Amino acid sequence: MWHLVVHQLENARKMAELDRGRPRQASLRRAVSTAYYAVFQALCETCASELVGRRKSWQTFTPIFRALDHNRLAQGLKHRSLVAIPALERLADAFDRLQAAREWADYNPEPRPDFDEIRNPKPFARHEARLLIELAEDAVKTIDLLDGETRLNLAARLLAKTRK
Amino acid sequence: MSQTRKDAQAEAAVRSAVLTTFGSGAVAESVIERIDIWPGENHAGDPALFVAIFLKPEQPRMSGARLLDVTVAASKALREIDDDRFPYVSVQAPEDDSERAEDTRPAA
Repeated sequence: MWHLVVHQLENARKMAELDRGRPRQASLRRAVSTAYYAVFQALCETCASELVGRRKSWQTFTPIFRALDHNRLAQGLKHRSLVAIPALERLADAFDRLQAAREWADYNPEPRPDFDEIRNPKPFARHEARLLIELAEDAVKTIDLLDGETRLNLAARLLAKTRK
Repeated sequence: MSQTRKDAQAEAAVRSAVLTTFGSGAVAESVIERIDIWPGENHAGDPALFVAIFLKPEQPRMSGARLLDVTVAASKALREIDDDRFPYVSVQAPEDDSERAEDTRPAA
């Protein structure tokens, strides 16, 4: 596993445990967002490593690493050829779940991601942040355990643009 | 099919999938206080389903892997009825109340 991804997950955990007793929204939001970025960067690294190679210069590696954006990743992961593989179906669902949480964490003022005045009005809890971090860890492990051919297929599918 | 009927069908499918991942009927009932499911839009403005699972007091903590199991099961159940909405599942327990963040509404 890429050390940048490992450290993002470690930082997410640390932020989720800040503020004894009642946590600050800001701490939990940074924890959730950081956990999402660990998965996002793990996928970017997979694409660049598979399609360019880890030993190539940054000049070659970085453009492919940066070719993915958040929406494209979410859509690409749902491609039927990928979700037919159980591990990738799990990864796609984890990514979708985390992306929604990250959008809330970074942009939404409401007290929780799935806020509903009647059904779900209570603010986000530390345990919920921990759950999402574990979910991110699960997703990163899933990426790490993919066999070579599946990784290459995933990278190609995520970066390819289908002609309409 | 009307949207109301489609929502009812989706809710039944998701509820059944969630309960199945928790075990047999009696086991699930001993763990889950209630499940609330409602339609809405996700962060991208796409139609979505929100699923809040409220656990009974003093249940063992759920893991992230388990949360993902529930999400995958609910997502599959929706696809099986040709409903392409994504289920955003959250899990809450009474114990969480002591470690909830402050509300975010700015002071008046």
